[in-house]
Amino acid sequence: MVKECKVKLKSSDDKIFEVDYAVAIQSQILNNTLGHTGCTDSALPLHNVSSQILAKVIDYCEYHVNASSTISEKDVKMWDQEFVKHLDQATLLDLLMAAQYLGIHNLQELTCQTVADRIKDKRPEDIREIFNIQNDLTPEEEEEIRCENEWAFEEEVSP
Amino acid sequence: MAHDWEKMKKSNSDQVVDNVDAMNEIFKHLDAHSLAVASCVSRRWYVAAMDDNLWEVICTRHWPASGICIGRLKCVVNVMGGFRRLYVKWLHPLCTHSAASNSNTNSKDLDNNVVWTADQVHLSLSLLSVEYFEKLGPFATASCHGNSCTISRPQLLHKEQEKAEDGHYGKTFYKEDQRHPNWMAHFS
Repeated sequence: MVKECKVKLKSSDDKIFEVDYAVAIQSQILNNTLGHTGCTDSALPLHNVSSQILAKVIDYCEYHVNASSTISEKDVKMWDQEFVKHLDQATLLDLLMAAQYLGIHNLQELTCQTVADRIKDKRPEDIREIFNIQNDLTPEEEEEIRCENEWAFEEEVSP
Repeated sequence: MAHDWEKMKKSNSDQVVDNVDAMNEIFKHLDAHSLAVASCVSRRWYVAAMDDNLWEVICTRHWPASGICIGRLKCVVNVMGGFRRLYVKWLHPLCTHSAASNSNTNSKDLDNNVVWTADQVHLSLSLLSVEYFEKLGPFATASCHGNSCTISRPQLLHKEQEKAEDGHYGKTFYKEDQRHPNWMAHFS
């Protein structure tokens, strides 16, 4: 039986969002919590999720709740691709962490795939730039690891 | 605002990079080439990319379609150096060698599209076991055929393997070697 009640969620910056029960339980964490407490008037605090990201998470969950029975899988995938296409790196990573924190498997898969797509076919120095990662390898370590993975830096197969 | 953006970018990246589960989830979506390149980014990424479970998925993704039973082989591969070793030393060169004889193909595309045949997998597993056996040291260097042969038996088998691939031998060569049934099945 699908519950009709509304669920209140509070972001880390104290903004309140009201969503349908069916939308909220897309999150495993919220599903478990609501399973114990039931629907209440008090807002569930999400300490690790800002309002900007929570709004996006809710957009995603609302679409997928409505899409599950009415929209084709192909169209859902297209929507997903559009959803992540123009996200800047910071937002994408925030969304990934939020999906992991809230236990929204599909969103976690989508964001991880998107991050992976942005890593593919890039050189290590490009990846460091994208993720703002400090290279903490010594020149000797870097040389050793490169040698270990020399095969991956070959461009063409020689006949 | 620009300064805040840079700070935020750094903390988001740090959060993800520091989160082992998050890194593992991302790396699961990488092909072999990208995973190897990712290991060159930083110490944490090197450790994360060396997780043999990731390489097991890369190696075995298509094995069920080829009729190969992963369960029985997994513990053997783990003992003999792991799936990354299997991939880097044997599966990948075998695949690129086969493809190179057919056409000029980018090796990255090969890794993304490859479906190894059962024969290719068995050959790679056999070569992995030979390499492992060679490393066992004194046990592996017993003289062959009772003669004062200076080359170890596995090294001899490996050389003979190469000869067989070049068509040097006919079908009856491996009948005396009962310890490598995969090789016998492959060449009988």
